[in-house]
Amino acid sequence: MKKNSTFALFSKMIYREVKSSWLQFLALFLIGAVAVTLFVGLLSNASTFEYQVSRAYEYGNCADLFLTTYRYQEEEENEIISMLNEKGEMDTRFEILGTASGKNSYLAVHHGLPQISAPYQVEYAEGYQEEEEKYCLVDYSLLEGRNELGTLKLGGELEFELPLATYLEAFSNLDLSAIQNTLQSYLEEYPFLELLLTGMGVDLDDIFSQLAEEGTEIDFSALLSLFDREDFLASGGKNIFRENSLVLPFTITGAMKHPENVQLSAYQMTTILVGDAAMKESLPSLLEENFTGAGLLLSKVLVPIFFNWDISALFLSSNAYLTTPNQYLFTFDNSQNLDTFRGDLQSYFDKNPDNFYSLSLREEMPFAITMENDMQQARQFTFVFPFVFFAVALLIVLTTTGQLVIKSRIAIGTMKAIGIPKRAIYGYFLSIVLGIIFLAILLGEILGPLIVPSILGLKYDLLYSLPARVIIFPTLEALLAAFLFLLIAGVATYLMIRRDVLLSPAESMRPRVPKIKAKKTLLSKKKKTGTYLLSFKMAFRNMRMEWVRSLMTLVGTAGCTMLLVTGFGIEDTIHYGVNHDMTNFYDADFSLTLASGASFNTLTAFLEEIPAVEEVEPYLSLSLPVENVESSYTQEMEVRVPSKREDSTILLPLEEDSCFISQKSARELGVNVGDMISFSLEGKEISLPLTGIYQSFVFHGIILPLSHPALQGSSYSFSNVWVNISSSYSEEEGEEMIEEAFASSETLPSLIVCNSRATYAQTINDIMSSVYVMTNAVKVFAAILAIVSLYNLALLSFKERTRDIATLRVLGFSRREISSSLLWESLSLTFVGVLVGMGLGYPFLIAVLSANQVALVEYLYMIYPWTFLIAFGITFLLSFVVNLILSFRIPKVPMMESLKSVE
Amino acid sequence: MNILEAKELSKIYHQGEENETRALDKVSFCLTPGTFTVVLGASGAGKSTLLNLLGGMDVATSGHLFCEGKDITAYKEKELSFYRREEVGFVFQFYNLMEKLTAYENVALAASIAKNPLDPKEVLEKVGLAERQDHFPSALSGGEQQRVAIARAIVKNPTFLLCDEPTGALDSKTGGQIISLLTSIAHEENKTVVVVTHNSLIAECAEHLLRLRDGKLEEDILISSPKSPEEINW
Repeated sequence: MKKNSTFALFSKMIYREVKSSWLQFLALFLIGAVAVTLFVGLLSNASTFEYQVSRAYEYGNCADLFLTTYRYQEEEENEIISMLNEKGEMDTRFEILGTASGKNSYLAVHHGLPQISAPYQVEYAEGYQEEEEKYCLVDYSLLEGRNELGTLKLGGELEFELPLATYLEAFSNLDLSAIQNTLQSYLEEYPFLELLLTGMGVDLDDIFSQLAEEGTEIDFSALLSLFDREDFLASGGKNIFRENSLVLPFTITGAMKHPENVQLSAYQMTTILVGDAAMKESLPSLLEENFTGAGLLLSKVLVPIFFNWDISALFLSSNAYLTTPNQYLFTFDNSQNLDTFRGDLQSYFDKNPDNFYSLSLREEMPFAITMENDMQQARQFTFVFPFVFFAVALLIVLTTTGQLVIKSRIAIGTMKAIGIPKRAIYGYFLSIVLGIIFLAILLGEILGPLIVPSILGLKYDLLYSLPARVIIFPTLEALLAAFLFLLIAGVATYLMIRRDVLLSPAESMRPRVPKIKAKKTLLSKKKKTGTYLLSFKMAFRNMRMEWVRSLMTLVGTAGCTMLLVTGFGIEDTIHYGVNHDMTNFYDADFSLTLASGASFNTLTAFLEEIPAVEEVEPYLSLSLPVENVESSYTQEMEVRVPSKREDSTILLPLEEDSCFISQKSARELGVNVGDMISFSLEGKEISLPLTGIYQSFVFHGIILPLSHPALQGSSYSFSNVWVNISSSYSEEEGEEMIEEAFASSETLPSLIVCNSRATYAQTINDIMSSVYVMTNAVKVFAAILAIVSLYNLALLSFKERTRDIATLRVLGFSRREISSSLLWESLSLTFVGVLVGMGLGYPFLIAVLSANQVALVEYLYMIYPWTFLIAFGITFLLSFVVNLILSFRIPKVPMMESLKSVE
Repeated sequence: MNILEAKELSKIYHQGEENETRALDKVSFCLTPGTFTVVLGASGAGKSTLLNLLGGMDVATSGHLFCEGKDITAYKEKELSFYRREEVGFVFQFYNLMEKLTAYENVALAASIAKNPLDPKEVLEKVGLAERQDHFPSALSGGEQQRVAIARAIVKNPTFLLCDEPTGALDSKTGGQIISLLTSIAHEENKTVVVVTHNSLIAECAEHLLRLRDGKLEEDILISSPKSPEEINW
């Protein structure tokens, strides 16, 4: 006769067990699969994201080291080349910070095509091609239709605002002889220039004598006023050197993906690549538009000198490059060469500090720092929610095993009685639970990397400009997670069944003996005791006796409430933050951004002409390097200077000499009230003490009124305006009228952005959309957690009491009377769990948001009272519904159960 | 007047199928108040089926069962529940006490749903458990637990007591005491007590014996002078 192995018979038992209680095991399988999908998926997402960033650096041959100097010096370049000595590769470019399409941008001018930090994907405008040296490449994000922030068109115009003021300041430090000498050397090289100038009635000696005494500092205002001469100006032209910036026109020849442009957010700088040939066309066209005759000639001579460029490039159809590099880019094959060369450069500039501006590794560059933060966040995100799910899965392992043990109690006793070893009994239960967990892991590890990076990738596509996704499977972490999950589930299962396996066979086959002691009854002899009071007593004693299960219910409900409080709390925090900023800093109907600045009077007079406009407040809004004077630490931040008209209702009250900094910016800069800060505004170095720190959600940086004493003595031009419209006009009408007015104006700069209060709030909401995705996920998690864990635990409680329920049915108790005991137990535990969960909600909210910091905002943590009420209500309702559903199973409990043998 | 009257009561499982089982076949009998009735039969005789029908836990396939003149075979689930609550005092073989309630509370629980209950304390005194009323079932012996179960059954002041192998889980001496208690309840409280059992010793105490065999009522006899439980060597 063929002998069946215990293993084969157990396998059959396992199969039949799973088949008969498939719904319960399905819950375990699904929750396990979701936990693993999320964990492995988010890990895969973080790895994929990191890989994409590293690919962007690799494809674009991003520089490992960036050296920036003030001006090009040939000897210095030669020295650098000799130091480099084939240790690595070098490329150079002229880089300058300015504004394009209202966004702070770097203009990087290359001689020919860039070799280092080069675009790795280019889409050319019609009629342009790769070999073209006269290129102007912008990031995809600046293009209309490619990104919410994009306004430019492929093949269209780009106006790059070059902040002249900053450079004029530097220029004023040059001594006259340097300019004279440079000019003289050119005149000697190109004698026709002098002839031309003389022919035009320009006496250079006379001009220079007007600018300064020989050997002294140049008279800056005299230099500017030189170009005020009417005979210097072209028809319709103006002295552009008196403006804040030179607006250089370029034709956008292509859209690119560039390793320094991986971040697309509005507050992140973008690099625009321009060929020197394009610059050679742009600058003369700007000068020719505004100057004529001697003015044009002189400007063509002085501007290159001013930037230390090659004058000859603008004359004689020369092939010479106009720009000279101020930035050196290096790549290295190994870090040793990089370190050696970096050390050499540092020693060199320690000895020759005059022309040194900065030396930074790639990871120290602003574009890389923010990416590092984002990559870190993507990884941190992995550990927040999946762990909640793992905890839920564990809870379900415990409850499922609990039910299994209850059901199999007699079977365990019988198996022991017939001599089946304990390890085989452990093996039986462990096989069921671990088998299901293993299948869940398998599914999760396949689905996670397939689903999660693709879904989050859609969001990343809006936030980053990266090479195509190549899904990375996080092998080591995934295997480790699988192992840990199996181990923990195994231990949990073992602990759940241990008590019953260790009992003697006879004990296993008897009902469990409660370990509680009753107090002397105080019930009156005659008084009839209420059914519900006794139900409550039964429920209470059940909770005490089955404290492990009670604790699990408590953990389940506390977890659900905590997640709900967190989910709704995140929305509260954002809602509160937006309202806080809108009320305190942005109480205007519209915020306008112009392509370039205009004077206060021009702007206000123009806008007040528009019938819908009621109130106008021009303000300066500039992203500037601000220095903590004490520590010399500098951080780039937004400096806002409202003109603060007396009747303005737009901004919070600002005293004449107040200078506030936001809490976030104060922390970043390391300053406190009373500390001195300094920044350069319109070419003027400004130092002033901080008078206050304010809380803000997105409105970070520094704010001070135009009337501040430190700002006096300069005239400012404004490219930002707050506008309030009359209540008799709708928002749409107001916006239309403002846009029409700017479109028909020939004198004012063009209007780039007209943001209404609603669109501003919408923009913030868009930025926060990834956080909203998270809040919805949190809420779904909470509901799943509540439904699955409460149902499982209530079912466990129900099954444990099947016999009691059957007995009560035989005794004639109604469904409602029987369910009251179950309900009492569940709702009492839910009540305590909800209270615990509400307490944990706030710290968890902070933990979640800390792991998901958005660079632009500082969360002003807030949970509204009704959020607690909602969380309380939802958890209670779910608990009630779960018990209600179960109560309908009461009539289905066969009364014959009560007649069954227990011994 | 009859307390219970069964008229051609039948229960057929899997009717019309190949494995049709006639568990109870046209059984008719009458039970009068204050009688100690024993339903006797071997395994498979139809005892449990009859118990289920008498207890309102199952419905007959055909025939009628009258309780105080009302046909309970026509009852819906809700009416059956009310019937179980008001008319039947059920005593289980394995006591089926609520583990988390004390002896007193178990009795009080049953009293709490009854229309005209007796005083739980008095009932517990009657079954000899006044001193043990604050103990949980787990702290009581089998016999004590069964006494609590009997107290729980009679506290509702039901029309009749239905006992399913009430001594089945007890030693013979304790079993005898329980039967003694049940007979005294039948006589002193004038309650009809129906004991369903396979134990022929209990049948010796019966005033009314119903013997079942293969689903049929084989014997329905009234015994004028049954043995007292004390006379029987349990």
